[in-house]
Amino acid sequence: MTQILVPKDLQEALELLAIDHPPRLLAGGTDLLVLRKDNPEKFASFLVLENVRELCGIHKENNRIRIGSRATHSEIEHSSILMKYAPVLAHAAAEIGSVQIRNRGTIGGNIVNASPAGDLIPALIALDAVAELHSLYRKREIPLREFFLGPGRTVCRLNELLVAIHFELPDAREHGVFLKIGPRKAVACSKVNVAVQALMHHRTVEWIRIALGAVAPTVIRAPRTEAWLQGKRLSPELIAEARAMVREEISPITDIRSTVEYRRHVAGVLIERALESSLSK
Amino acid sequence: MFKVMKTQSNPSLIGSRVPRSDARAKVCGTEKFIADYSLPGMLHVAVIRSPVPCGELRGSNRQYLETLPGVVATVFAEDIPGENCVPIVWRDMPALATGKAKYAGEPVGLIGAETAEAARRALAMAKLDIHPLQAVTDPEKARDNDALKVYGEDNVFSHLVIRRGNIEKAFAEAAAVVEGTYRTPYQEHAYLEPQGMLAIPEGDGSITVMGSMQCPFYVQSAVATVLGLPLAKVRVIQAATGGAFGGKEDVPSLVATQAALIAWKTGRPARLIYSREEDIISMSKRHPAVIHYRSAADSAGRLLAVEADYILDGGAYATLSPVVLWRSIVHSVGPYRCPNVKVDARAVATNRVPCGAFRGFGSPQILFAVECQMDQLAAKLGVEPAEIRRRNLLAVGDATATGQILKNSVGSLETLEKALAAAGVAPSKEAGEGRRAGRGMSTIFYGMGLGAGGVHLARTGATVQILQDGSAIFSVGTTEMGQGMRTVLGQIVAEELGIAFNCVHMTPTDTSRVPDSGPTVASRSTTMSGNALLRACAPLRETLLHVAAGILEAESANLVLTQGKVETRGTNPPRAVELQKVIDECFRRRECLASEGWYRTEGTTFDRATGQGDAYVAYAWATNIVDIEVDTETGVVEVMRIVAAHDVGRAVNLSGVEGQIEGGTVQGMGYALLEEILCQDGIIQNSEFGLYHIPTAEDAPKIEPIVVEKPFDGGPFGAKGFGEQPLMGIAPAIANAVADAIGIRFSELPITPERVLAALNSKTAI
Ligand SMILES: Cc1cc2nc3c(=O)[nH]c(=O)nc-3n(C[C@H](O)[C@H](O)[C@H](O)COP(=O)(O)OP(=O)(O)OC[C@H]3O[C@@H](n4cnc5c(N)ncnc54)[C@H](O)[C@@H]3O)c2cc1C
Repeated sequence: MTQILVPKDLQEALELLAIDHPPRLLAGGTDLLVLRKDNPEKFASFLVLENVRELCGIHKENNRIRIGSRATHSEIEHSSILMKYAPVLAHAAAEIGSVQIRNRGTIGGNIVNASPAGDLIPALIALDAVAELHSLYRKREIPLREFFLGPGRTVCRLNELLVAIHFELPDAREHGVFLKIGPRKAVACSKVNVAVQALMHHRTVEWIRIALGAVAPTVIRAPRTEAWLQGKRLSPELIAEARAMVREEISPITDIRSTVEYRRHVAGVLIERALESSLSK
Repeated sequence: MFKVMKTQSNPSLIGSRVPRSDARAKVCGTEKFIADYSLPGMLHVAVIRSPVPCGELRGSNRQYLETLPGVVATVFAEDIPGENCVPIVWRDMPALATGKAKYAGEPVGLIGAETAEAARRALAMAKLDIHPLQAVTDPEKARDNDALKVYGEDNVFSHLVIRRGNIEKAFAEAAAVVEGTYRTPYQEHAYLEPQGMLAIPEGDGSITVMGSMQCPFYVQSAVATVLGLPLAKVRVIQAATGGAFGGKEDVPSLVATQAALIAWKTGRPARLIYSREEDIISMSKRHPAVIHYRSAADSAGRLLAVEADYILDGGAYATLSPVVLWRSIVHSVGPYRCPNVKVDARAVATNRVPCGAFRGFGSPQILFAVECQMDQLAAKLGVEPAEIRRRNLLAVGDATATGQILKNSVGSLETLEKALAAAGVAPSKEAGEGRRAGRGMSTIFYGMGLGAGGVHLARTGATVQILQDGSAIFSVGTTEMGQGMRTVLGQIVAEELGIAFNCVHMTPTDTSRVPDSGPTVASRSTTMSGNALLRACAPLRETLLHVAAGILEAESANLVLTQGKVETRGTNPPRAVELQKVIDECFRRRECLASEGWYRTEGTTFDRATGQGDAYVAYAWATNIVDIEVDTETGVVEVMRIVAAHDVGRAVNLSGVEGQIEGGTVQGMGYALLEEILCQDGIIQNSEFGLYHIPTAEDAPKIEPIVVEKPFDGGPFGAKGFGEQPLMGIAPAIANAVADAIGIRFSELPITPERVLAALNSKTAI
């Protein structure tokens, strides 16, 4: 028998989690129910977040943006706040699955599921986002770049709940791009995805954050390439060098979805395209 | 040769765009598929499968399984009351493996339990004592001398040939020779609804089986064989079937035996709904093929000779492979004149899942080779791809590769010219930075119906009944699986009887209603069931006209039956009587307003020694023109536009034909670019839709269907039937377009970005 708990608010949810074998958090279920299909015994008890209002909403709060963990991909895709301040995230959300999946799937689920190919994660890491984790006894904030331990593994404990994600309000001059290559145009897991967030001044890179997915056990930044680009003036030659450098910084594998050669090559191409689009702004 | 069937000049319903009669129920979700049926006391079946591609079966823990909560029965080979055999073309496939399991996923035992959950839990506890043996998992090595034997002495299920003319001489004299080896992959049907069956033991010693299927009469024969019952005691009813594409031709027979065996053993209804994963690992697929192909042409670009030697991977059992192979050789030269032909085709046995029917039935593989060869010949001779086809296309009076002289209904050239005109000028090769554009084409043909290879099944029955209120029901032995048959046949009945389309209803296909009508395959339903219905309607029309003649005081020969009324012809003013009045009068007089029709195909021949004969009664013709763009940095091939011109004889329902063109084209795109079953050492690695990708609506390009109508005098209103052709020529057209765009010829499918990029890189490196 499957047990389904439906807490009415955050406090009750945290209380229900504060036991030895806590129930599994269920947001949109688009990852979890796929997992459960093959292994129902492993998922005896669910805590459904449907009524927990504290997890909803996308807000601009002074100098930061805060997104409740239950925000769906559709909400993110169409959020006027995100379109204005963090289009990289809105665009990433728009590339996820299909309309049905975007209506169900949430940002919290995408993060805690911790797929190396999860599409929101590079965008959030490029925005230098921070995860807010609550348990009954403590609250902590973890920068997303330190959040992931490996495929499907994060620092979030079983009795913790990801309440929200926040990041500093991007400067109006910042520029963000998300690009993904999957096997087809929709309902496709990324073979490679990249997100770039940068502040440019007359084509000179003041700073840049580059995040790549599906090219390592977790989504990664490309710190060497970022540092090298900083302060330089973007040119086709520079972009070509950055492309080569990024290919050195990643450690893709061959698996059922693609090959190491392909991923390495295309990661470079996507970075090149992201930088070119910054150039055109 | 053919009796000329109905070819009314300007019928109102034929050729119209009547909406699908099943659309509303399917869109609204009220249609009942087999998983929607449930009966009191119904058991749920789970299938214990071999985990290895080849293994000696030594036992199982069935006693233990039977003690598990909710488990009511298990069935293994030794419990089968009849013959342990699922008869398809031959009788080599058991219902449950015994002695040896021959492919990973092969059914070995069955569990019947009170709930689906209990069945699944028991399945998780099931253990087979199975000793793994070495397996033949590479079809290209199946015929090696030292290969283990999966079938017979040489692992060859069937070897078919064509011997025509003298190829040696032709190759010696040719102006251009092109040679290639082509590899095509498995293709998974990916029907929306997985396989499923419900078996109901009736109190009287008979059994009823319902489920998702194309061929109720195949299912009937399999269940009767396995249970040891006469056919008369097995009734099979098709439930609404959510897609098939050939994947529900032969294998539902196997699925039905699984439900039936548990039902028979327990005396309780038993239902089995496959999970997607077990469906993908154990159900039929399109045969992978390896094709060596050599073609020769003279300096005028005329095809002189073809030599083809190829294998299809049949998998562990013959199932439909002998007939798939047969269709493939008939199509092995394409729609072209060619005086000298030597073809050797073999269906080989491997320890892999048995392959079967899939839209095109062996022809897409060989047509891929044929059409890639044609473009290469054209290039060698310096003529345009369209021109080389124009010079070689079969026309009325020409002989096909099997020596069949074409007598009528040959729209090959018309599809070519119309497609070319619609496609217009090819886009520039430079499609922006890092993008190259290309155009490719293919011209194909398709033998209608079962042909000489299935002549013993080439018959159909139908019944029609007019009811008192002026509505009508009809029954046929072919099935609706989403292709639109029910609508087209309803149009034909409505047209013939003058009854409104929405007052005509098709009953579920049921073996107890119509005689064995063969399978629903080979794009044959519109023609075969259509012809049987025309014959069933004829006496009803006669009765109606006779009775109307009495009412109108006219000769029945001078009456016409139109929608809703009977009118006099040649009198001024015309006199008319409402059809309902005529029907009322028929009932008052106790006339019989029920009738049966029977139709069989005549005139096909085939000589196995030479591969010569009148293979099919008629052929459909098509030309596809495809525009693509290649992203040369990511290797992604994007299909921009497809113009597809099809000669269908007569489009009984224009929207239906266009729908088939769109769906088949996109399925062909998947075959060309995307779809790949990854099979490692005989074990399928991607048995889920998260890993086996078919195109989505967003991937679909702009598709421009063109309907050409060269009436076939053996088909209802001139129709030849339709359904498979749209898929068949897409892959070579795309490969030709890719070659046009980037100068690289891919002779292996699918043309994935990984392969394109690797090829581009090695080319740049050279
Ligand atoms: C057909 C299909 C297509 C898809 N396409 C894409 C795609 O293109 N790109 C992509 O990135 N993903 C894709 N996905 C994966 C999935 O939709 C996303 O990862 C989605 O964001 C998961 O969110 P969810 O709310 O459904 O998570 P759930 O399935 O509800 O949960 C996922 C995991 O997160 C945990 N969790 C959920 N909420 C919280 C919380 N607040 N605190 C702590 N833990 C929590 C759950 O316990 C579970 O472990 C696809 C999935 C499907 C089925």
